[in-house]
Amino acid sequence: MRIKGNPTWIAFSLFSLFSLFFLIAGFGWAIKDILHPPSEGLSLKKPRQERGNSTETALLLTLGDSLTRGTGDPDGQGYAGRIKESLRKEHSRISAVNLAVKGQTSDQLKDQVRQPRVRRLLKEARWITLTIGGNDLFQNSGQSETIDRKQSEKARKRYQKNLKTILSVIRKENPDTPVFLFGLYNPFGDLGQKETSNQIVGEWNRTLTETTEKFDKVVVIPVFDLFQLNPQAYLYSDHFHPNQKGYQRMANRLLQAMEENSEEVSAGAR
Amino acid sequence: MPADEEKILFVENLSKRIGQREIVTDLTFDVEHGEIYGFLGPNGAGKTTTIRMLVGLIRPTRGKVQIGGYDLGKEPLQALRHVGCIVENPEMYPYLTGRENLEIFGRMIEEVTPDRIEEVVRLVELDQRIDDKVKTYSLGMRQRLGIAQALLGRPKLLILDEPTNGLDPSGIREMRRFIRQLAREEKISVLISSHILHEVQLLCDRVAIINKGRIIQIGPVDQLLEGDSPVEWKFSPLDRGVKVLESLPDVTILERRDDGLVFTRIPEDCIHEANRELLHAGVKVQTIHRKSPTLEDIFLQLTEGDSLA
Amino acid sequence: MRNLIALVYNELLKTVKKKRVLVVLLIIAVLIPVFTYAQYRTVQTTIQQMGTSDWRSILQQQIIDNQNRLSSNRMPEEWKKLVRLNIQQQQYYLDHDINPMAPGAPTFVRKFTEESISLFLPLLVVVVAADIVSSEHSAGTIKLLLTRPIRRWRILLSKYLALLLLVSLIVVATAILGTLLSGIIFGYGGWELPVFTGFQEINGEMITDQVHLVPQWQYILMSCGLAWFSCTAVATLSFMVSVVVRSTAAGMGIMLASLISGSLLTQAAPSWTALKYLAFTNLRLTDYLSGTPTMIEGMTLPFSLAVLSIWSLASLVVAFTVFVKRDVLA
Repeated sequence: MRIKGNPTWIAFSLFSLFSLFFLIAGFGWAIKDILHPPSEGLSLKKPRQERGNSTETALLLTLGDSLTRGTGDPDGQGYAGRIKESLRKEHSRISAVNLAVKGQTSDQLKDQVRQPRVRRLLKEARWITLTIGGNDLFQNSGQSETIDRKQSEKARKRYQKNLKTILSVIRKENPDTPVFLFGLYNPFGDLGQKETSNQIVGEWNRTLTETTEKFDKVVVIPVFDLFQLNPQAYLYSDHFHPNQKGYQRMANRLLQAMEENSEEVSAGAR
Repeated sequence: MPADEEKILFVENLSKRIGQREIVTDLTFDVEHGEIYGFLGPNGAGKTTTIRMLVGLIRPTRGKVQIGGYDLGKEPLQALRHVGCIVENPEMYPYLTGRENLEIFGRMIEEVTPDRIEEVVRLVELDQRIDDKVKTYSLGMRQRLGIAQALLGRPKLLILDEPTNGLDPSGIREMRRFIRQLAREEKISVLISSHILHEVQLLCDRVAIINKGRIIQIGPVDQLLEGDSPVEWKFSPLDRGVKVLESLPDVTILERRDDGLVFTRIPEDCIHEANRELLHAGVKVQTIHRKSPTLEDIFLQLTEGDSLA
Repeated sequence: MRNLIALVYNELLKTVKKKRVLVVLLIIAVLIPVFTYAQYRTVQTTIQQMGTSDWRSILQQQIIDNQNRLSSNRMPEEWKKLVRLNIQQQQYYLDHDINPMAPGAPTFVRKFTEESISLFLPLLVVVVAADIVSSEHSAGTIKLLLTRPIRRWRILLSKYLALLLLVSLIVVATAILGTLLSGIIFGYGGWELPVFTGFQEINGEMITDQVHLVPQWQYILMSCGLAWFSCTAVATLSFMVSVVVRSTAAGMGIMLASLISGSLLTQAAPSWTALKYLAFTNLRLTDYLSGTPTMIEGMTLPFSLAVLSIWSLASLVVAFTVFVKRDVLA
C-alpha cells in the first residue's frame, strides 16, 4: 500500500492538469488560426450578406475628406451623422459606413474606391455621398492668402481627371444608386485676396459640375453660398472646417436633394 | 553486486579537491554491520565534506564509496537505498506538519507504506505532535523527526552528522540512548560525526580520527583513548616540588603554570612513589589529578604536536 | 512513471502549502476588481464626454483623435505608423458594425489577457518559479531530496512538471477570476460576440484579406493558450535562474529586472531591431491574434515562438546540466 495523497490536493493537482491540457488546446488552436486561417472565413462578406438578406438594411455610404469625417463638429457627427439620424426616422433599418479620411485628396480617394472592400460597399450602398476637392484646392494652391494661379490650374486638371475616375468606379460597381457630391466653398471669403480665392473656388466648382454631368444620377450639392456671407458664424475655429451650424446647413441641403430623389430611388431600387 | 557482505560501508582512497584546495585526502575506512562508528575531528577537518560524499551530495574527485556492496558512483540508487541520513541540521519543511514531511519523503522511496510512517513516528516518540506544523517543534523534536525521516526506508546504515549539535544536556542524553537502542534493536549500523570526544567515547564502538582532511588514527574507542594522559599536581612550595619531580626517572614535566599547577607525564604505577618523594622532601601535596584527555591532547599525542599548532 | 507522479504531487503540495500559490491567487483576486473598476471608469468617462452611449460615436471620436495625433509632427515615425494602423483597424470595426469594446465579462477577460500577457502574468509566474528550486537550497532541504534513491534529473523534472501545472493554474485562475469578478459589474454575457482576428502587418500595411470572425469564447481560449506559452517560457527561464542562483531573492530580482527592462526597451527603442531576439520582447503573443502591430519590425508569430522556444530549451539544458552535476556544498 502506497502513501495516499489528500483528496483536496489530488483534486487541486487534477485541476491543474486539466488546465494544462485546456491551455495547450487553446494554444494549438491559436497557432492554427493565425498561421492557417479558416478558408470559409476569409472575408467579412458572409456575415454582412446574411444580415443584408434577412433584414433589408439600407446602407448609407459616405466617402471623402474631413468634411465627411466631421472635423470641426464638437459632436464628431458632421453632416454624415446628421443625415443618418434623419434617414433613420424613415427607414427603420439603416446602417452607415463612413470611409472618409481626414486630409484626403482626390488622388487618395481614387485609390481608396478601388480597394476590394470599398467596391463591395459601393455595390451594397443605397445612398452614396462624398466630399472631395477641398484638400486638392487649398493644399496645391498655397493654402490661404497667397494663391498661386499656376499651381492651382495644374491641381484643377488633375482633380478633374481623378473625379472622373472616382465617379466611373462608383458607377461601374453600382449603376443605380444616387451619388451626392458636395460642391466646394471658400473658407477665406472674408480675408484679403477674397476676389482671387472666390474666383478660383468658382472655377473648381464649374469643373466639378461639368465632370458630373457626364454621369447619371450624380447630384451636385452646392455649398459655396452657405459660407459666403458670414463665414465666421458657420466655420470652426480653425477657419477651414464647418462648425456644428455649418454641418447642419450642409445636411439640410443634402436632405432636400435626397427627398427629391426618393421616388426615383425607390423606383430604381434593387 | 554486493561484494563485501561484512561491511555495510566501505570507503577507499576518498578524496575531494575544490579549486586548488584538497579538502579530503585519501580516506580509507569501513563500517561493519550493527556497529556505531565515530567520525571524530575538529571543525573544518573535512567531516561534513566526507559525509556529503558518502550520501552522494558531493562527487568525489577520486576514490570509491561502497554501501551495502553497491558502488555509489556506479549504482547510486541501490547504494542510497540502504542509507538514511541527516546532514548537518535536520532541515524539514517548516510549513508542513511532521506527518506531511514524512509522507513527502516516504513517497520518494518505493516500499514505504503508511504503516511504516506510524511505526517510525512511534519509534521516535513523536506521536503526540506529528500532526503539528514543524515550525512549532523544538530543536530536539526536529532532530527526532529528522531521524524518523532517515529511518523510513529501513536503512542498514544511518549517517548522522553532529546529531547532538544544539541540543540541551537532557536532549543529548536522550539522543544517545536512542542511537544505542537503534543499533541494538534494529541492527542498524550508525556512522556519527562529531567534534566532541566525550560523545564519541560514550557512544561509539570504533572511531576514526580525522584532521586536515586525513585520517590519523582508526581503532576501537577504548584503545584509542587509553594511555598516558597528563597528571595534574598542585603543591607548595612550588620550586622545591618541581625539583623533586624532575629528579625522578619516569616523570616528565610538561608544563608549569603560574597558578601553581604542574602537568606531568607519569606512568600510573609511579604516582604513589612520586607522591612519597614529595612528602619526604617536605612538599605539601594538595591535589593529584589525572586529566581526562581532550581531543587536542590526542591530536598532540598522535601528531606529536604539529597538527593543531 | 508512478514514481514521477508521486514526485510531482509532492512538489505541488509543497508549493501550495508554502502559500506561494495562495499569494498569487490573492494578488489576482485583489487586482482584478481594481482593473474592472478602472475599465468601468474609462467606459463611463468616455460616455460622459461623448454625451452619448453610442459606441459608434465613441469609436468615431477615437479615430478622429488618432487622426489628430497623426498631424502632430512631434510624434516619431514609428508611432505614427502604429497609429495609422490602429485607425485602419478601428475603422474596420466601425464599418462592419462590430463593437470592439462591448462590455461584458468575456470582453473584459479578453482585454485583460491581452494587457497582462507581457508583464502581469509573467510577474506572477516568476513569484512561483523563482522559488521552486532555490528555496530548497536556502532551507537546506535539498540535502534530503538529493539523498533519496532517485536520480537527480528526475527530481528536477518533477519540479519542472509541477511548475508547468502551476503556470497553467495561474493562467486559468486569472481567466476564471476575471470572469467571475468583472461579471459582477459588466454582466456575464457576450461569449458569442464575434471578434475579428487575422489582421496581418506586412511592411507597415495592415493586410486584411485573412481577417475573419471568431466567437469571443474561442478568442479567449486562444489568447489564454498564447498567454500560457509566454508564461511557460518565463517560468522556464526563472526555473533556470532558480537552479543556478540558489537564492530566491536574487533569482526573483534578476527575473523581474529582465522582464521589466524587456517591456521598457521595446517602447524606448523600437528601432533597435536586435531586441527582437530577446525572450522578453517576444512575450506579447496575443498581438498576433488581435492584429496589434508589433513595436519592432519583422516579428511574426513563428518568429516569436521560435525565439521563446530556443531560450526555453537553452534554459532547460543549463538547468539540468547544472543541477545534475553540481556538488551540494552548503
